[in-house]
Amino acid sequence: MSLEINLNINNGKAQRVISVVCTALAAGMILLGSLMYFLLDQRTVSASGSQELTLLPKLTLNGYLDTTFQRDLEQGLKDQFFLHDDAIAMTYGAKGALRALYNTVQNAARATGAGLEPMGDVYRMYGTDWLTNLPYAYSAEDDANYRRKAAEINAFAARYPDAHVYVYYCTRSEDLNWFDAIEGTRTFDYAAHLKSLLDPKIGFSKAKFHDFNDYCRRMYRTDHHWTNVGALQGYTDILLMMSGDLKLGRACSVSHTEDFDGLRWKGSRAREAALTIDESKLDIFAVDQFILDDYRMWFGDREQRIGLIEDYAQGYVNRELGFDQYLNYYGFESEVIRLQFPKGDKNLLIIGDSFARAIREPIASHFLNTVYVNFRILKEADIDALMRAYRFDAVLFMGQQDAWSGYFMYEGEGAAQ
Amino acid sequence: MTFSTLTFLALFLPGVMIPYFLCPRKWLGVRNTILLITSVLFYAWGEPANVILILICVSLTYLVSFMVVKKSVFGLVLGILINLVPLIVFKYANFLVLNVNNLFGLDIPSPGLTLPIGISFYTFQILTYVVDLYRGTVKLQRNPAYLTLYVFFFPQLIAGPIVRYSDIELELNKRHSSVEDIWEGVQRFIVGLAKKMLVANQAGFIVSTIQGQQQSEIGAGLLWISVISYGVQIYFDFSGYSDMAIGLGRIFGFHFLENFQKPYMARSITEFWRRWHISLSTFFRDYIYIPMGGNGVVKDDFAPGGKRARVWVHIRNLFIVWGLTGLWHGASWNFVLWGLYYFALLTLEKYVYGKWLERMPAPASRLITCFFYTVGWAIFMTETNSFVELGHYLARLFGAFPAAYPLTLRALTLQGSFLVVILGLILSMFDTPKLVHSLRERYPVRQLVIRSAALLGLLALCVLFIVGESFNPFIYFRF
Repeated sequence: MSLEINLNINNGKAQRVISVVCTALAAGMILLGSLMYFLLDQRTVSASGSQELTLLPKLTLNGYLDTTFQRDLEQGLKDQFFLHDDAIAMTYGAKGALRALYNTVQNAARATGAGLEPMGDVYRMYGTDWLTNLPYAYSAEDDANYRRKAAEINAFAARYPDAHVYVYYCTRSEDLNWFDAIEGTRTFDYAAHLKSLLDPKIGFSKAKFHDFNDYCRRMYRTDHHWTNVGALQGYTDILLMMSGDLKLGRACSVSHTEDFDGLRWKGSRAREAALTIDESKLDIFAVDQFILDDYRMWFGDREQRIGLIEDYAQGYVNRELGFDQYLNYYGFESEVIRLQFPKGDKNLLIIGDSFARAIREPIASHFLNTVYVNFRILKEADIDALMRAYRFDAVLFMGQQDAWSGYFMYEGEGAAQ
Repeated sequence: MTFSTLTFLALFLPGVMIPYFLCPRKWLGVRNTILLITSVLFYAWGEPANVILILICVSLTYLVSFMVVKKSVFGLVLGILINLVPLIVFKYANFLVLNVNNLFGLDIPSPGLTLPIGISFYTFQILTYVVDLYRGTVKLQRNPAYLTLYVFFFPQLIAGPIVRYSDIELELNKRHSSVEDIWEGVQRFIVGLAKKMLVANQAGFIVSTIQGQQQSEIGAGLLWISVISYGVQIYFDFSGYSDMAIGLGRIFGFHFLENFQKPYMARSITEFWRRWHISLSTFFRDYIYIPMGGNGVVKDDFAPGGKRARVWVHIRNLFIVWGLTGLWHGASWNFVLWGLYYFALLTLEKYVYGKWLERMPAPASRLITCFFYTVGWAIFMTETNSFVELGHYLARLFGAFPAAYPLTLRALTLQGSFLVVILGLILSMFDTPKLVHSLRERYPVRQLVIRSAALLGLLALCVLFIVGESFNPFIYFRF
């Protein structure tokens, strides 16, 4: 189709009629759009209530000279356009449709190759060094546990209406349904299931992987945890989820990524399957160094740092391949942990699993007090006492699939009361 | 103000067209006055202070033109300097200071001047009047308002095409626009708006998203996508703007020359530049290259050293013209290098492999040409004064320093925009299928109705995209 259109159309009567009609229609469209600004009242909020709208500004000499008037007028004209909400919906819809088309084509191409290749008790993904277990299928037992967990969180949120409650689902390779088309598996979407069971007032988000390449950047090859890149994305997701309710300021900056001179390690999947893997194909353990204010940390009643973060910083690193770097670097939360930062004015409770370790400090830096309770010690920690003591402004539940199918706060049928 | 804004479409355009067309056709002076006033307002919308700069340039040019018309060389030089000095000062002073500082280890503070919008375009336009007046190919414009209108006329003021005074000299005094002309102008405007809103912006979104990432996470594949997208963006953006300018001119009875002729279909770089930004390349050809001796054919090839001298004159002239072309695009070394890259390619095409390229099958020569101009865009888009940075970028493009886990289109949610880029490539690299031509000829009225309806639908779609999209940059604005 030519875009340098040839305008030398035959000069017949039809052309003249069409020219008159179309010119009138084009002019009519433009004039109608212009007139609507004068006929309709200005709106301050979009119909969906999700967007504040700019009003048409008043002309001032200063505003004109520094061109803020011109900028505000253009924004006001967009926001007050009589089809504003439809235009937004249409552009989103068009982009979504194009994305879906691209994904369909790419998925169809991918479906022609093998997805999972057995390697001992685990599977290699797409012939790469990234390992996984089989995708999560539906289980009635897990379903029942999810329902109980969701009821518990809903009841908790109802009991503490002053606290904003959030849930973040840490997606793993077993959650991904990429292999369904290839392997004939049926991955059950536990994240969506959990979300559907939660009270709509509870904020929900999850780690999303756009494609396998994205997965490789954000998750370790032989371990089930996220890399520093994945952790950073998780931190950003959570901040975004919370910032609708709480003013948390800008995300912390990363000064640099430390990889401890290319420290290789064998992750959980390789260890559990007792695989012998060439060292060059193992992961490099790397962590982002965030720029943070000085903070204090308590482990139970003792003021101390946990994990071996300081040892690693001084070069005391255990380089045995089987050494669990992730666990040892961040430390295991066998007791309640509290962090105190100088600038925040709000308190946060995190009930999470090992995924939270990698983003504990940057999240806590947005709050005054952050208390961290691992799901595994939930029963020992008296959550209600903590709620009374700190009057948390926000409570974040975060974890991977098994964190939601076990580790309950309360025992028995009365749990959700 | 740009054409792809609601301020222009909903307020400015009706504000010009209603009084213009309500004014009787025979009152051309009043119509020109309306165009002049609204054009000044158009420029003053974005750059209130710089209106004075243009007015000074036009006023001085008007005064000097009375000397120029009498073939005064002094007048000619003065007329050129009056217009070139502001361009040099505003566009190149910062660059000059930076390089002097780097070269001599000095710390002269940068003047920090901001570039007046459209200065590169309107300066060249005024120069065509001064030089053509000296050459005697145009008449002296005694009406200062008309000369001001020529420079300020809003369709071509801020981003071209570079309209020569000779092209609209007659139409300033006598012109006619029928309903057919107006509708043709409107159609052209809609096509340009659609190029800009529906294709260029999507391609631009890919470019800016990829450039906004940590460069260590960008693999060669994504880098090529970024460069190709930039090629699509700059073509659809700039040619779209030219279409809109030509269409607007047509609505008001002016006939501007074409600025693009499907450049991505070119089979050689020589052909590419005959099709790309025609108003600029012909400006350099007619006002610099040919006056310097062009390709040197005026020399006697049989005189001692004649042929060799001709070749050297040609190469020297190409070097100067393409160095200047690069500099015209921006005060940065990557632009100079970009210009010289084309100098090298054009020289090689002329003297080394041009004939071989001509004998190749069309798809192959198009592909080779496509590769060269795409690499050209890679140089162009870096906008850096550091050759190391530029070299590093080009090396990464060809696979050096690969990313360990490169980002993908999906990770950046650019899939939809990428499909639009592919569509843009198809539209820009292939000609209209013969089937469409034959259908047009067989059913002229039906195709007219369908096309008109489609264009009206496209106009509505573009307006909705202007409202719904927050990403709406314009590349050639800053040149």
